[in-house]
Amino acid sequence: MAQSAMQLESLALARRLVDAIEAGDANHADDLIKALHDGRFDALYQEIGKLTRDVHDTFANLAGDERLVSLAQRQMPDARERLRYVVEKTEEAADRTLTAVEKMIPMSDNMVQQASTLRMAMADGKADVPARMTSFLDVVESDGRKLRSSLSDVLMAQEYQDLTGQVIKRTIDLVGQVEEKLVELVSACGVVASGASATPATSNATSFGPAVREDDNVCRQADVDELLANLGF
Amino acid sequence: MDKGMKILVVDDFSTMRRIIRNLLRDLGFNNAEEADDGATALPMLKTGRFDFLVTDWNMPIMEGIDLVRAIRADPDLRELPILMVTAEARREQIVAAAEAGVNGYIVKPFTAQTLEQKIAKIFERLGAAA
Repeated sequence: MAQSAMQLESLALARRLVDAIEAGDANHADDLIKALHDGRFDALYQEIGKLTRDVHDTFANLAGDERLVSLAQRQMPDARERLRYVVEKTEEAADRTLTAVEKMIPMSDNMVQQASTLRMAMADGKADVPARMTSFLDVVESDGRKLRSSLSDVLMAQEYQDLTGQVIKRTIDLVGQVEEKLVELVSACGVVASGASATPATSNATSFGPAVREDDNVCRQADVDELLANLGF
Repeated sequence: MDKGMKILVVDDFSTMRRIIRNLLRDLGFNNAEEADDGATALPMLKTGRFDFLVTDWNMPIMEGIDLVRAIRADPDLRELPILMVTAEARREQIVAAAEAGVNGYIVKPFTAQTLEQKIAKIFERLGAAA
């Protein structure tokens, strides 16, 4: 490995120090120890000075960067508000859809049930078939209208996708801008930015949320079943 | 399998609880109650004489995996069959859930058919073991 000029100089001083101690020249040895010590610290101080200047300049530039000021003061809080809106909208839509579906399920069950009793009555040649027929048609007509209205409700509940999609896209852009600024800051501070890590940072949490991309570690239901089968389930 | 069995559905999202309850109703299970996290579920389980638990993993206060461990450590509850229905899908998590003692594991998003199959399988195995 190539040695720096500073290391070579230290090595020469150290050799002379050994010689001085062997020769019993205590005064010279003290001078050499002081020289070694000072040399090392001079270089260190220079390095710290340079880093401090870099960091100072970077912060000065960042402070004057209107994009960053706007990101921190306006856009980030705004993004949080917008994401909260996404949570609200999606919950509202799911609720509206579920309510409509819960209304429709008993209606369709009822129609199916009435149809099969009517069919049986017809097969048995029962006398009240015309009356049953009329009442069945009444049910189909009125429940059919209600089904139609609930279905429109389900349809309209999907409008959230357009609204939340726009908000999420803007937020993705914003996160990109923040990332760019952070990378600038990190590299200015002398840390080697080795690019985005492929794996998300781990924490103490035992849960990771939905898997948003394919990955060897992520299981779909078939993988889960296979894994559990291997474990004796 | 007794269609009248008492089921507790634990998930922090009310929409997911509603979906699971509706699917259970479609499968003929009409006796279901809800809790929004493990800390709410545990006292209900202790006093409510439930026959089956369907739980999410990622929830505030007490996560599903901790709920499973607490149930398996409780002498009165340790036999309760548990189906985990969760978006958590990492291999080590599935292994951890199996070690904690779940009887089945479904990853979200899932279908009604998957739910039906897994419930049937759990009670088939319990029936065979009994």
